[in-house]
Amino acid sequence: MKCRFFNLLVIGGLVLAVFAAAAGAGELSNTLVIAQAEYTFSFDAIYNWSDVNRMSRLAYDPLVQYDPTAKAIVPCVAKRWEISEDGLTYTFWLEEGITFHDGSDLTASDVKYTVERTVAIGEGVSRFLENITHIEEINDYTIRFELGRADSSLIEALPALYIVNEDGAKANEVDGDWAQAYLRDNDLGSGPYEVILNLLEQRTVFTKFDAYWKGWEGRNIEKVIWLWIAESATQRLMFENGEVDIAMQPSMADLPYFETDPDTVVHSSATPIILMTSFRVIHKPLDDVRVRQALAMAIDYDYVLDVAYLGYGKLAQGPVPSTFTYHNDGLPLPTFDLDAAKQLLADAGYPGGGFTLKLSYESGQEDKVRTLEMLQETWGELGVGIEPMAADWMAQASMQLDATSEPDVYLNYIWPSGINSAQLLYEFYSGAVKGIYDNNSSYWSDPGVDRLLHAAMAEADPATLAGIVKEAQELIVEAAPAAWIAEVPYVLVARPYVKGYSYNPAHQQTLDVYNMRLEGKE
Amino acid sequence: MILRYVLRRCIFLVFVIVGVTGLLFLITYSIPADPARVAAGPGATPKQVENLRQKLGLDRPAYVQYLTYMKNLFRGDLGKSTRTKKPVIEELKSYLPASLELMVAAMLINVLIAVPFGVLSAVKPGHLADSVSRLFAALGMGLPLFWVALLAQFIFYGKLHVLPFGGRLSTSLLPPAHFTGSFIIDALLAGDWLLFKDALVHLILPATVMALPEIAVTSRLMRSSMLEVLGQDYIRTARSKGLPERLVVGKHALRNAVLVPLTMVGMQVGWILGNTLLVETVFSWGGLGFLAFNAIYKLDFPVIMGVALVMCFVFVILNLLVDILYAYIDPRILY
Repeated sequence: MKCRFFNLLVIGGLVLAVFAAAAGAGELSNTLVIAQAEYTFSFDAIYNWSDVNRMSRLAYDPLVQYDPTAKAIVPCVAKRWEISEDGLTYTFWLEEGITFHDGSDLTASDVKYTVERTVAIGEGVSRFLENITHIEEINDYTIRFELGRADSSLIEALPALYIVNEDGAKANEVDGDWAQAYLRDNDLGSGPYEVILNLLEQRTVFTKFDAYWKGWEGRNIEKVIWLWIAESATQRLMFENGEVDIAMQPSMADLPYFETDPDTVVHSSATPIILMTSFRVIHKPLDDVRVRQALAMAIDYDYVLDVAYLGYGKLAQGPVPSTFTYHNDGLPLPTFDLDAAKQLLADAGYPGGGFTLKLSYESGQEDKVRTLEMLQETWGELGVGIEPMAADWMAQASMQLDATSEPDVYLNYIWPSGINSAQLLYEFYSGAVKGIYDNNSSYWSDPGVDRLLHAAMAEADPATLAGIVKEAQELIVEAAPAAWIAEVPYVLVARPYVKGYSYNPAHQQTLDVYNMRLEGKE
Repeated sequence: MILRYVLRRCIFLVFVIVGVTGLLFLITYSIPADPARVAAGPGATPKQVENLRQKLGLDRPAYVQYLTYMKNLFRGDLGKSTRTKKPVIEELKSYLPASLELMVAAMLINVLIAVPFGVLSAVKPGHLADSVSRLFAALGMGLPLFWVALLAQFIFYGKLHVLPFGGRLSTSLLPPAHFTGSFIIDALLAGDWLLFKDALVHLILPATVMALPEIAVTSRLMRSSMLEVLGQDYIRTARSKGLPERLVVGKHALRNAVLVPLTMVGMQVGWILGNTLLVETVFSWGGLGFLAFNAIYKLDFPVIMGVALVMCFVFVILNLLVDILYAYIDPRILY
């Protein structure tokens, strides 16, 4: 009996091995295989969130692009543009000869339709477009936007405006849904790659669009396979086994391993996401700027960079990320100085601290947990206790909106919705958005800053705008409604033969596959 | 008689659906988060959120939303996904076959391993099979499924390289023409042997992991049920009449002993469906579990409701089938 049982096991093992060997392997030398945790639920370019943007960046072309090196808006579908002196009229001249994946031409009519569709659906960048009162198609390749009021944020929102094929969308519209259901599994773009297979929650396959208007000279990635792998441990296994070329979301805990592997390149980029502690200034004693400044000084910034981000992060210099135009690099960098912090607390009437703060943080996010641990120790040195309140992001967002919610401090991110510095400051620190945007979790405002931000939003002249935005940053940093700790790094791992990767803050956590190459992949 | 019983159970199903939907609505309103805010995405303006709230009907009182949902439900309309904007019924049709494929495979593995192990353990207590069965039971019930899934992936994919990491097909292969949605069946129908083998290989690891806790339960139940039956007078009579042991165990004892584990098999379907959420996530298996995982993450309530309803429906129907099977196995049972 024992012998028969053993035989059965051996036979079972052999069958398994034969079947496993039969599992197909294919030609992958010109194919980029990417493992990604967060599933992309749609190819509708209206969503400018990072998970959808990963796909739309391959399949669509935006009206204009953001060049992170030059920190400037550069041409794409629009080869040039003009903004009237009063900032109320934008005229765009479009490239001729751009075709959508179905072979039809991209014209001004498609741009107009894309704007109207975005505003009608009311998602993504629609809020930046709602100020457009009239769109005029001057000819097939020239289009003019007229605005109700000058808005400096418009042009920097347009890299997220991917042009949708009007005829294709209208042909696939069901019950006035603007083809949203169709775009669940298909694309309607003109981008370098087109979707050929979307295997739900498993993989999405793109193939190169031969007629792409920018051409294919010097480029060799013909196919892109996107695998949806929820577990970072599985991503690591697949990477080790050579099944993927890029793992988009490796666990921070795995990075020391990847760093020592000669067949792996760890790419780290500073993102526009900033880790911070927002002080709810309507709660005592956080209404006193000295208390807030003291707490900011009692943050061990190096610890966060070294332990939470394993050396990949960057010290934050105020609320505007260093990758943004109009970031004020003249601001002082934050320092960890417990003695000065104790002195400030004493000056504010709290010698030895003696109070406890309720701190809300998102559970399950390692960087925040590590930071919280550090704060418990360093703020403890000041005599300030912390009562941690773990919440998921939805619950935290609801609390941040609510003026009566309990937490005194939010350990959260500045996660900009675009690349416009004025817009970012407005969303996070304008008195007009208290209780409206969950971003303004500190409930802080200042009439002087409000005036500056209001002026910045309407200013068309770049030099004047730069001056206003930089001044606003100075005032905000001085008032310390938050302690801006670190620019959160985005880390991915890739094989050495994957070349040309770069990070673009206008398209967070995405890949510009068109400008990447595979050199020597076998 | 049996027809009346089936009819009664179908009417009961309506109450179950009303209960499940009611409970889910209650939970929805207890969550300290705003589904419209989540659906509108990060950085949405209050106006965008309000527009979406109106579009989704979330601005209406809870009981109105519930009654509207129920009215639409009985017309076969489960609403639209707040994420994908597709009708939920379409989403379920796309995802359900993958989960059913996995569930059936797990149940087959469960029955094919647990029943013989249970019988062997009962017939020969202390024997190798009994020890293995006990080990299975301890591990299957004691280890967290999520961890087992990752460990299995690490061993069979990461180290031994004998099984794929997950997914339903190799990346180099295209799925077969859609007929049932089950790649195994569709590949067979298409006569594509390579695709069939590939789909089968991809099924082994997730199905086995999913079956493990159930094997533990079924084999122990089978063992105790078999031991009880083997002690009955009619078994002693059969043996004393000189009937071969194979017939005594395989024909007389097994048929009676299998009723207890059979009851559990019906329940186990529910547990397996619940476990799809963990297993499908680890193995990138595009089924209901993965759909539910993402829907929960994005507070896509129409989809969450749809998945819960399907699971509830499958659970009730399979338990009904088990009840009908009772009567077939044991003619003394009347409904």
